[in-house]
Amino acid sequence: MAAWSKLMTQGPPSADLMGQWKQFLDQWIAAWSKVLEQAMGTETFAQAMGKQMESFLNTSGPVKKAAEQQIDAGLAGLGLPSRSQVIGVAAQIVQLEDKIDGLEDRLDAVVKELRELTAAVKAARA
Amino acid sequence: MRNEPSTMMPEMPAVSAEVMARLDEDTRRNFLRMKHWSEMVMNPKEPEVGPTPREEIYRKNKSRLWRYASKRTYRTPLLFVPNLGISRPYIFDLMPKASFIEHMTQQGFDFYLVDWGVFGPEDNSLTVEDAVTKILPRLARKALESSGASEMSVLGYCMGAPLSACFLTTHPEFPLKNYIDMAGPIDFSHVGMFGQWLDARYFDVDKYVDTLGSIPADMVKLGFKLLKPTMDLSTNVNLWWNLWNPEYVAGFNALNKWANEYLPFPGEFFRQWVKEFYQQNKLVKGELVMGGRPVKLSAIACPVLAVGAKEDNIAPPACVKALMDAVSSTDKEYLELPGGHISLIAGRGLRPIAGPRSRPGWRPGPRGDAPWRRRAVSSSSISGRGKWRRAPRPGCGRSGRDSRRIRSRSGGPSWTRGWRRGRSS
Repeated sequence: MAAWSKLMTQGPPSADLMGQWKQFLDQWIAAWSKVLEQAMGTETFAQAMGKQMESFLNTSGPVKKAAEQQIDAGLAGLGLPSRSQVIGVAAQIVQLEDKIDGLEDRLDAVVKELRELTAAVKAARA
Repeated sequence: MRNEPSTMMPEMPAVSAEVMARLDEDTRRNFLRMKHWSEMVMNPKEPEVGPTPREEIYRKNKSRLWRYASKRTYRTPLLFVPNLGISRPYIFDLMPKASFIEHMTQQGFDFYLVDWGVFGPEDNSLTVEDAVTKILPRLARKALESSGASEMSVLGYCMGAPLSACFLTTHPEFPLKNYIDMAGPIDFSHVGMFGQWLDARYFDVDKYVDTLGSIPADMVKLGFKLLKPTMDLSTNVNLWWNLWNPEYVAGFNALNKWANEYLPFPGEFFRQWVKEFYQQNKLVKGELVMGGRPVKLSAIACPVLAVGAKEDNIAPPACVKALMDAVSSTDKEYLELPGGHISLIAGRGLRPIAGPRSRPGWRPGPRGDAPWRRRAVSSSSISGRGKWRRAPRPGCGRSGRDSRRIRSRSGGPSWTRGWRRGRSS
């Protein structure tokens, strides 16, 4: 209401009713945004959110675990690899790539040193 | 004699013409609103994003290094390091005339983008340390090799700023020319609501990661939506208001597509990020250790530019500005621009900080060599491990003594001179 009355008392009357309505909405949203921001920026809100999160984790943790066990058992019955097994294989591929990168680095270093050595030998001969 | 409506209709007050014109315009706009709305609902078109041509230089696991097509009139390449997780990097090249990358490449920057990729559950063991000591150094080295340049400037945006700062300080041998922090938090004690919500007293990150494994994209979305709960409402009100304008609708579609594509976090990355950055604020305290090397921001001595956005609620200006006191550079500048976290780098109202037009100091100089060139010294004089065995650069050496020479040349910030136009590399 404060936003509306402020808007109504500002400036001369205009034919732009849609514009005035939009202006009102903007001010109304901005006012609510400020109020919510103040409320959510408090320690109390952070504390409440933390508690909410904890209770969510307390509930979802066992449920997730039980569901995973059920699914794994089902997949094993069908002779299919479980999700964790597939993830394990993917993780091994990532590790393998890391190792190849390490080898590439070493190879680069060796090639570089060889080049430097060759250049130094050539310079010494000259 | 002219037939003016006011003389033809003397009984109508003067204001009527204005009202009629307004009504006419409103009717036209409402018609267009209905038309565009029905198009959006009945025949939604997938917005085309990422219009700037690019080539993949290197890929490691999910991460990619992209080089964007440009005239490359600036000698020093620019490595752009964005946030890992959270959102997709096409926001930096959203659409023509609203693209940070397009702007930079049109200016002639040799632009490299680090695209961290979308990490899956197999990457849950990836830590911040891995990103800083394994992925980033490799991508930076590949960018440098591909450019053929001897030095490189690094621009970190959002989380990419602290990540790149960690990388640069733990790799003193990297030939860094300039460092730019765009809306990147440095002092996490000023990080606003996120800092409060992730406070160790209320948020048990260990339990969170141990239970969920990785951090699902929906959780990331929830966190960002909570930060500004009225955002969706104001976005929709603005859409309704501007729905008559096809240009606005195109921009909205592209931005909306991006805004609804959140990315998950690898679990261990999130654990370290929250614990060491948000909860313990180790970066600005100089207590971080990565890859066995201490992360000391004071090791950054090259020209530094930090840019904060006035209405940024993800990285409020105070936490960005802290970089100024943390680095040992003498040539440093902090800019605070209007707008929010995203409007710094996206949208039609884009204000590219690195855009020479927005800052007189960034105007390109005459063609030719950089005024201060790398001096040749033996690699043994460098403390680094030798992947980037370069000479210490004036202003980018580990001691602040060299850096003090820079300012005296022309008075402007030295990165303008570093990016003088030269022949393409």
